[in-house]
Amino acid sequence: MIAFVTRRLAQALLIALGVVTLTFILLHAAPGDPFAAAAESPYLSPQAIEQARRNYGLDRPLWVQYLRYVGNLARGDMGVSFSLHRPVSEALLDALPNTLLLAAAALILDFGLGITVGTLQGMRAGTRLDRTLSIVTLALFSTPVFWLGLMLLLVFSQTLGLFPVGGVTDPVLYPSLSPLGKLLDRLWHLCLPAWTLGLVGAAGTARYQRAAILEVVRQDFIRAARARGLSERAVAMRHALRNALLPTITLFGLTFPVLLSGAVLVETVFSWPGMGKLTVDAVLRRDYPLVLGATVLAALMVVLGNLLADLAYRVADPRTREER
Amino acid sequence: MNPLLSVRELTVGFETPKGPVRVVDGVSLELAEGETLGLVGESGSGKSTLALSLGRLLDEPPAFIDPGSRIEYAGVNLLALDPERLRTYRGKAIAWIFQDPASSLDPVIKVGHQIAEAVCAHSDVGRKAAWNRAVELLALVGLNDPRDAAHCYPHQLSGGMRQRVAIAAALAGEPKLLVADEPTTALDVTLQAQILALLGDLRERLGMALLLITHDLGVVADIADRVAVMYAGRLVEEGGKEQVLKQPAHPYTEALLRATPRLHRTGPRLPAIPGAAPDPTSWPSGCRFHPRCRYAWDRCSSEEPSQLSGETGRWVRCWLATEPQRRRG
Repeated sequence: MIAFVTRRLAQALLIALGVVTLTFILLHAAPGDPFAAAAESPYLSPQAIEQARRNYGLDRPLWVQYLRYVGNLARGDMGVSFSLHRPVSEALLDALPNTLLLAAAALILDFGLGITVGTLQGMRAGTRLDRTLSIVTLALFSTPVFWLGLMLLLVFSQTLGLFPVGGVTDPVLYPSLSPLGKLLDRLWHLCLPAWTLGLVGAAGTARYQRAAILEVVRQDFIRAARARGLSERAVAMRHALRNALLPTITLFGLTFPVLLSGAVLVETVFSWPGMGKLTVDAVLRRDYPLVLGATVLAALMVVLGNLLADLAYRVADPRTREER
Repeated sequence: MNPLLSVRELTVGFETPKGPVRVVDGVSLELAEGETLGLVGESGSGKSTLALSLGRLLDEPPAFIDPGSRIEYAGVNLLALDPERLRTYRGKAIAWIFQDPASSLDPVIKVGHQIAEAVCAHSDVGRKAAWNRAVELLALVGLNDPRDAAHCYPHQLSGGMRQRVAIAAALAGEPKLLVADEPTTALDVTLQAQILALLGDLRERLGMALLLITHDLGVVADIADRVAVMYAGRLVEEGGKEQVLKQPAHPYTEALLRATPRLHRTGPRLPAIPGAAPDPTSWPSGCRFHPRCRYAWDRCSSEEPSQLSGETGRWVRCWLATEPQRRRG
């Protein structure tokens, strides 16, 4: 078990290096640089711009820039953001908790709702309930995340006034709230973005879980369990659900990156100051260190999510435990 | 004495895009308490469908059981019960073991738990007591270290041990009738003998009736009291084991016996039954065996024989019984 985790973490480092390299190449292959807009400005002399480039080390050959960045990164130094004028690590640490909170809430909704609905559908396949839910999940699954976010905003914030339009906390009231009030305020702000992200995910998970259940219930051991006189409930909960969860756990590892990229859109719609919004802004401003830092962090989270899924799989399926 | 199980005119089929297909067609049979009936037939004859329909274990739809059918267990028509009542008969009155022991156990649950949950389904005992009972059952079916085995997952056991576990789980409800559907087919030969001996032994000790479904006449010869032969969804012959195996009345039984390898008989190639098992979407007219029968004459293709009985409990569905002189031809 420990050897397995160690090996996977070592792989994570390699993946991180690969991601840095690829992102570095893509960033520099894209037209323009951080001072492309400044060059148009009548107030800055070419000498001043040249000086700024030198200060940031952008005048050096690319491979020198690359080696220097990787070397610093290995020592834990992610550099200073061009646009925020503060260390990249600080900016990321500010944004990370917000994104993790949003992703965790969305994951709970995604899998909680998805597995429940999918199992219900699978056990009652072909009924009107199943057909209705299939249409709902297909529609939701095909809905663009940002559009769903906008519609939820329109209905629940704009028209009904039940939820705030954006942000993590109430900008005016928050400092004066009691600890419990602060928590509630945060949850209240979390609702719409989490549901936006969670609903679309849950629709996908439900379809997956339904198929997994259908695959399991035609297995002989389900019939054998029935033949032993177990109730339908015991057959469904203990045997069908447990076995059908195995492929869904794999899905969990795949969902994590989707959630992160979905978070980019949702965070933008709901002005949620997380990693997604930070990254988009950094890309638009050609803030090389921040883009690289955010990408590496995202890559590590994806690797970690997959590792968690693999560990969960080993717990859930005894057949995978002894091997390797 | 009233029979333990009485099946009357059982017709089971499947809805297909081409229309309903009757796989079991008007089968009647009886089983007394403690009796062993061997049900013999080749693949596709409807044996397994019959076995599963006894507990309504087929998915309906696509399967259907003709409303004229009756399956009576100790006088209760199982086909008239609501699902919850029927559940109390599964495992407690009638239990099943299936061909492939690997696939009849849940791969992600310890075998002890799988047996214990079957114990709990039929009696009001605590978890601990159910677990202890599971260990007892594992000892009963002849596992050497029942305590350790209970903590194993199915993949950690060998094929023979898995079939023993499946038998233990089937015995959890203390059934009066055990339906064994090809219980040894997936095992290698030495294990087959062991499992058969175990089944015979358990039947004696627990006083269970046994419905042993197989394509292997050797298996039947070992432990059955009576034999029923099934062909193309119908029973074609039934009688005491000795009678049926020594003096088969139906040409199909005769051909099956000729096609069974014997250890001490050497000779030319083993004779096979010509032709293939008929397609259930279009059974042959008349006697369903006539296209493959060496004795068939025109009457066989036009008219289906009824059950012609000889002595008590012995009958055959064949016109030869009315014109025995044709057999020599």
